[in-house]
Amino acid sequence: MLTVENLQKSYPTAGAPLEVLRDVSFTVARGEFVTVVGPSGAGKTTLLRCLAGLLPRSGGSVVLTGTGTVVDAPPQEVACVFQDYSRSLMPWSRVGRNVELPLRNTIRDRGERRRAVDVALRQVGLDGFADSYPWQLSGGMQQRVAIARAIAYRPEFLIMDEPFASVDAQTRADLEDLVLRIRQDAGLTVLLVTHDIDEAVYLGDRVVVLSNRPSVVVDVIDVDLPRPRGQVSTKGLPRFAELRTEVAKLITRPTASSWPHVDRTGKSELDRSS
Amino acid sequence: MTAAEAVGGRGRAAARVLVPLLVPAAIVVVWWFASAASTSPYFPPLSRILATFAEHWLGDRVVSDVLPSLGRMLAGFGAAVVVGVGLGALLGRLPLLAHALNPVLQFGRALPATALVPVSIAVLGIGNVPKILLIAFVTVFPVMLNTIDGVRGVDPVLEDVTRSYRLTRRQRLFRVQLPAAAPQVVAGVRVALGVAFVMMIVTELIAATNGIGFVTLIAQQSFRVSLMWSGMLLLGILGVAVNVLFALAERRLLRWYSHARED
Amino acid sequence: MTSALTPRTGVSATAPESDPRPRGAAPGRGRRVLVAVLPWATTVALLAVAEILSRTGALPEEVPPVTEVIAAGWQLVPTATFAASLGATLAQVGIGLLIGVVVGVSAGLALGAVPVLYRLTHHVLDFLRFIPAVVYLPVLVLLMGATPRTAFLLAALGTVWPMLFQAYYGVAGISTVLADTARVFGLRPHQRLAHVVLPAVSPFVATGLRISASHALVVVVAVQLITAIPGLGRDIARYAANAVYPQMYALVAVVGLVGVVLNAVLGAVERRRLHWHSSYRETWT
Repeated sequence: MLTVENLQKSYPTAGAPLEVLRDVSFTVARGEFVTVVGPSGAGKTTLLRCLAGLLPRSGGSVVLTGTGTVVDAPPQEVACVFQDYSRSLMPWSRVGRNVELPLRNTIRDRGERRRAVDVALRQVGLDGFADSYPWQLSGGMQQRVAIARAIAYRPEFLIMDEPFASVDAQTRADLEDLVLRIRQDAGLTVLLVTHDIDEAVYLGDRVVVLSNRPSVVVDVIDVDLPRPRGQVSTKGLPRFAELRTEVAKLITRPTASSWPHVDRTGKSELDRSS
Repeated sequence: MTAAEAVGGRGRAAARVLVPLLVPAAIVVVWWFASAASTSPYFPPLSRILATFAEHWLGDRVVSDVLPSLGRMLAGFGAAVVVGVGLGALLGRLPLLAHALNPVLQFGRALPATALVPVSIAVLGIGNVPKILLIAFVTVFPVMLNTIDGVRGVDPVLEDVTRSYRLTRRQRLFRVQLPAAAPQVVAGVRVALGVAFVMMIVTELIAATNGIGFVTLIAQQSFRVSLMWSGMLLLGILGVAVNVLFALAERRLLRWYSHARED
Repeated sequence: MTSALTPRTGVSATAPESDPRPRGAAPGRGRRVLVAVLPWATTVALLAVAEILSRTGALPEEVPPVTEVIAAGWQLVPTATFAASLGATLAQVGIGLLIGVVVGVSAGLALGAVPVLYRLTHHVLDFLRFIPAVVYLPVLVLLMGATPRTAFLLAALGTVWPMLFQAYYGVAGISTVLADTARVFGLRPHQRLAHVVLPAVSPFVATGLRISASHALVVVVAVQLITAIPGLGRDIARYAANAVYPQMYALVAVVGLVGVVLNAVLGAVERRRLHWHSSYRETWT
């Protein structure tokens, strides 16, 4: 589905360029659920914006394998869910409108569009809320609206940027299972970025572990946990504990010794902003 | 709830509405009686001012003066809103151009609008069109500058959303950027409305042939004091009415904004 | 409404994770110089175009070439007449502003401190605030004649309402925590005024002052145009009436610059107050 090779990204600054991604390579197979986890300050959001075609790369390639599309602009087959639901929804539009707007260019018929919106809202458990405004809903419900907008768009590939970082623990668990179910039903390919190791292991078929900035892929861990997964059953497995320890070790490994070339200037500023 | 409490509650509700009306009512009553026997040439009885008001401003002058005044103001103001929002949206998307024009725009905003009245008369002459053009010119700046700020202030996350869902330029402008900028645009439009009202009056005080301001000034110069007072009264009422209507429209238009902010 | 017209040059090193939106190419030194020069280069270019258009007759003769306007201004500015008019204008704006600020701020503070007073008068105040000062022009001229007093009274009428409401909002917005704290520490009334009320109100007053000053200038120029009391407005009207256009435009430019300077100075004051205000709010709420 997606092939990322030697992806690099640095930002021009007044001084030396700020290198965020040094060398990131991994693949996502069709139907696979890949999670990307890294310490705060790793270029997770930058990586995601490069993959979604929202940010030009400094080097390397990002290719949608199926069609051979080089991702230079946001591709048709990709939908995104962003971290901050309060900023990613349009407060002046009702929930139904929010979900509908991206469909205007893909579904010409108004009635059909309306039905697609209804179906998507039902899938995320929000039927009956089409006429509410986003600010009338709880945080978890708002993020459901963002998810409904993404799936109504009928993407093949769903990219999510820390989608559950701003909700409470119970809501988070509910939303995680919602995403698993939707992905199962729609046969979606999913890439989800998170800083939460449990979440990365719980959701993913594979976990891509990023280093500190400038980021490289430290390792890719296969998650051999049975599906369907459950918050209690899966997280209670000894294998789950082993995997999360393995990922945690990779993340907390002292960066300077294992990646001697890593340039750590400006690190503290990035920590503050993420 | 007991009956006494219910009465008390209703009494308090009535008091809440009535108490603020005491002073306005008192002012009118005092004005009425204090001026009733007035022989001062400057302060005619309120009853005479109101009679003059009814005779002139509810009579022929509606067509000959009131409508021309309001028409010129609304034409200039309306044009300024359309042009200001359009240019503002354009410049908001072209930061370098906005930067290049910054001194010109800031000068245009800071220049006291009234200083341009003689210029407009010299270049464009008198009559309706020069007045409308002048009102439009001076009110376009607050609208345009606020629109630029608003359009540039669209949340980057929302910009990412519109791009990742491949909205067209048109959709992005009309469905996202302009709605997001609406609070600031409306603030600019409110300033523009105030300026338009002042300019409506001032353009009629210099080289005009009709209009509420014109009649009021001529009344003062020809010592028709009741007519002057009634003209001022009308201008005051119109000033309040225009602002109240705008506030109502604003509240409707920006309902999402106040709610979303409370959140 | 502050100027946000400086483009985002130079992406700061703190931006990438939270707001990774670099615009344009790497901001080298050359580019930064270009960006700094661009507004002024554009302004000069626009003036040059205007010059060419009026020299070639594309513009009507009522719009003289820019160089003639500059030359007229060059001659006019050192004269005593100009100094007197500029002085008169600034004095009328200044005195009007002073009256408006003193009356408006004290009334606003009183209304904020005594809720009953506000309840009794707010309908009247809401009515009066929307009546522009120029509406009072005929009656003031009738009562006082065309004198500078008329100008600064009208300027005061134009400034008193923004000041009053800003001061009122400032007092009404003082948090109960802050007020209680002041009381717990046993501050005396005059100490509360000096250390709690005035600091809390000052950012609002600063905003009111910026708005008021531009109102005052607009009103004063209008009075000078209409009643021919001394000032730049009267001079503009006279040059216009005698078709001496270069001088007219030169004075309009001067009045515009007065507006720009007033805006810039009071905008800077406001930003300082607001800056302090936001840090203060972070501590207290």
